[in-house]
Amino acid sequence: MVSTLFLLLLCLTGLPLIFHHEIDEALGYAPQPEAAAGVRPVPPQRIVEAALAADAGRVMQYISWDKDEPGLVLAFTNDAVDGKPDNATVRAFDAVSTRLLGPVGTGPMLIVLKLHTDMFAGQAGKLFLGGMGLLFAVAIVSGVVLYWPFTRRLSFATIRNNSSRRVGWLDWHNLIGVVTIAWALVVGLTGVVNTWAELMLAQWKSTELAAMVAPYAGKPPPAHLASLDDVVAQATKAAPGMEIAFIAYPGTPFTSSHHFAAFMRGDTPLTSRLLKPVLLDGETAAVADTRALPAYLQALLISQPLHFGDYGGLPLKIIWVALDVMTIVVIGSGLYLWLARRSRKAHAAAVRAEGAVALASR
Amino acid sequence: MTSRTDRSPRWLSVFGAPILVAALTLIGLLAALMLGDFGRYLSWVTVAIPVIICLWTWLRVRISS
Repeated sequence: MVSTLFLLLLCLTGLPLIFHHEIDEALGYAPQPEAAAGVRPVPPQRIVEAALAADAGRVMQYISWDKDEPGLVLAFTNDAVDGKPDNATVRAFDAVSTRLLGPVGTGPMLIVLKLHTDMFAGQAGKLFLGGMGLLFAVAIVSGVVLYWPFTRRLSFATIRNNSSRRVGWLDWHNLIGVVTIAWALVVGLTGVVNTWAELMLAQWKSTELAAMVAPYAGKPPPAHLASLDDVVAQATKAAPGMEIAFIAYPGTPFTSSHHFAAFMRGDTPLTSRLLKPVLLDGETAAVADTRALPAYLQALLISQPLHFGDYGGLPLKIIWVALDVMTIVVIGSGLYLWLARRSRKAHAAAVRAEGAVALASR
Repeated sequence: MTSRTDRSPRWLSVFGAPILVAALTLIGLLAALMLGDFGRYLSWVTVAIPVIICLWTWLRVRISS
């Protein structure tokens, strides 16, 4: 019962998130690049200078390039390189003019996103909702088991509309539930995997990343940082055929205290999700190491589009909304059927008790 | 007593269509990720099948009532 309410929360908040880009744009929270087709973007160090000028006294954490919006560069600044994510400021800059276009990740959709991912309770909230996702998967499996006794004498997609309202809703619950099993399991379980992102990242840092930076153990944080232009040039050379998705500054959670980490992406729908880190010396921008991410982080990266439904164009997003609404109907009708069954049982018990009293009084 | 040969077709009639829908949904979800534009178009058709089935059933129920 309680988990059903959290599942409803996840489905209801997930609904607007499917169109969060479009909603942000409509509400004016999505910065748009200035039209400069065919003009080469400025060297990335110029964007860094613009970002630090816009946020005096703070430091750079990350800089990222949106593959769908090449005219935009996002700069993440914070109080310290290892500052809390909630204290980070994300600003969009025009890739050609370096003009500040506005903040990113603000507005009402941020509240919906926080409700959907952690209910404003940080990592504990994330793990709790991940647990709800696992319960959702268990409920789906138990629904498959119950599908047989309820439908074995019926043809597929039978709705007994001439019976009671409860029977009609039971048939709809069974039909919608059974045809959305695969989608609901994929979206539910990929959502669970996403709640483990921080844990997976911590595991990667303590194993793979630690092995990558082991030869540089004991080196202090860079006295002066290499130019981002050199970092971009060296990283692109180290991963031919790939482009930079984002760069983590030394000391941030995605790298060591001495290295930049450039996360490279391919150009197909699949390889654009599978990032490859290139570690570069924080002072000289020399390539230190590069290797593919471990399987569990690749699974995390692939699980994200499968959860968000943002990888197949607008039609797939519309289908995602329809399937989400259908899941809400399944959860709501399941709740209704459960309450109806309880009230019928309570009524039957009351009738039995009355009968027993009548018999005893004869 | 129900023999094994009697049970199998009934099992298939109950779970056959849902298994087919689930398989097509999974193919569509992966196709959009792995097969470029063709996979994207394929996903629009296959992932929409559950929606189409429910819309078709809803129309059938409305017309019959």
